[in-house]
Amino acid sequence: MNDNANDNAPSEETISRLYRETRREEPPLKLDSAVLSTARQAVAKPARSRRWWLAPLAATATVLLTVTVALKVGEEPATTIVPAERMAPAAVEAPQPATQANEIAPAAAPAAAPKRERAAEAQPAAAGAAAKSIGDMRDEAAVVAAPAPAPVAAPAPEAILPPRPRALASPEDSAPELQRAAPAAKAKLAAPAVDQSTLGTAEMSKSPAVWLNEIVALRKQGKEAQARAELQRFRAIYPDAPLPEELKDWLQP
Amino acid sequence: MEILPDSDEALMLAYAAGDAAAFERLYGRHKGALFRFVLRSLNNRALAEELYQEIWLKVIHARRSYRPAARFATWLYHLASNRLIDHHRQQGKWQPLFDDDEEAACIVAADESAGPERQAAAGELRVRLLDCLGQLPAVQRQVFLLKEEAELTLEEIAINEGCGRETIKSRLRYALEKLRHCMGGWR
Repeated sequence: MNDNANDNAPSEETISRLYRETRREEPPLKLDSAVLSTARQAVAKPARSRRWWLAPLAATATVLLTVTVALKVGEEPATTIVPAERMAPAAVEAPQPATQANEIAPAAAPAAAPKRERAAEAQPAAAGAAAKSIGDMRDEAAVVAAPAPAPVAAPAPEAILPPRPRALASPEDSAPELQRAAPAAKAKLAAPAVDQSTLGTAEMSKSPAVWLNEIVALRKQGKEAQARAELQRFRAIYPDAPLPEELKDWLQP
Repeated sequence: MEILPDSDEALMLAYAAGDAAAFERLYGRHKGALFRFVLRSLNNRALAEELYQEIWLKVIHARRSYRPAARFATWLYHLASNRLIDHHRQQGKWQPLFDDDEEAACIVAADESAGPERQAAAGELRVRLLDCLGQLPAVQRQVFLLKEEAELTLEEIAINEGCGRETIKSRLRYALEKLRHCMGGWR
């Protein structure tokens, strides 16, 4: 910077003034239009999307529906095995024939036992609460095949699961006819000919051998009408199952 | 910060709430200064127009996040400065102020109230000033333009540039000295 140049140099105020005199340049009109158009469109969008809440609402409803269905489906097995809950307390009052069934059922219905065990594990408290209220003979016999919940439900375990030697020691209880019938009933269970849709919940939870055993027990107790009704129901479901000698005379025309 | 009715900040908030007319008024207030700021920072008209539009698009898109913690102009030129810095980083070079002298002469309008000789002399001075401005280092030119075009205070420029006030004051002093020297040598 030479002195001559500095002498002629404008002051800072002059520079500022000179620059401000140049401030006349404006953006072209096409740019103005483009920017303003974009600005208007940007704020016009919310007006078109006033139903912005529809998407989250639909998503929430879908989630709720899915959860509800999932819960319902999850509850389904517990609902269908409620009879197992009823069976556990009934075993407390189980008479001697139930002990016989205990010897037959493991061979005749091996598949049914785990299912009932699961059901009993799921609701042990409920089984205890209903302990003395139900005395259905069919359920009594079935419960013996599912011993898992019994100790929880019953105050006297020996009443629920009588000792095996005692059951075998009684010639009346051993029911050799029923033991002969057991393999046939087992084969019948494996056969797909049985119409499962006709089975009630209680029937599905027991084997044919156990059922027949109950019917024989009813007849021995003098409950003829109840035994006949049960036999008719049994026949409707297992038309080809062999019957014990004590019941065959009922089928004679 | 107090929001006065019809202030830039009030207009921006109104636009963010959906008032397109508020934006039109705001745009009208700042379009010239911002355009010149970008044009004289870049020295390329086509590029300046492109970046100028991009800066306004940023304003539009950021309307909902705008908070009037400072003057609207500070925020606007902060967006503009950031965009220019991005561009400079991409280019890695600095271009002359104008593509040619003819374009510079068109930008500087003549003072119609003065006589023909004074008009010519003043016009030459303005052209020379813009030419000298183009020779400044980028950071000094930016500070000068933020003061003269955006009319920001030293504190606002410091916030905008992310520097201390004294740094900005020093840059501005150097910028003016160089301009004085450049124009004095031209005489």
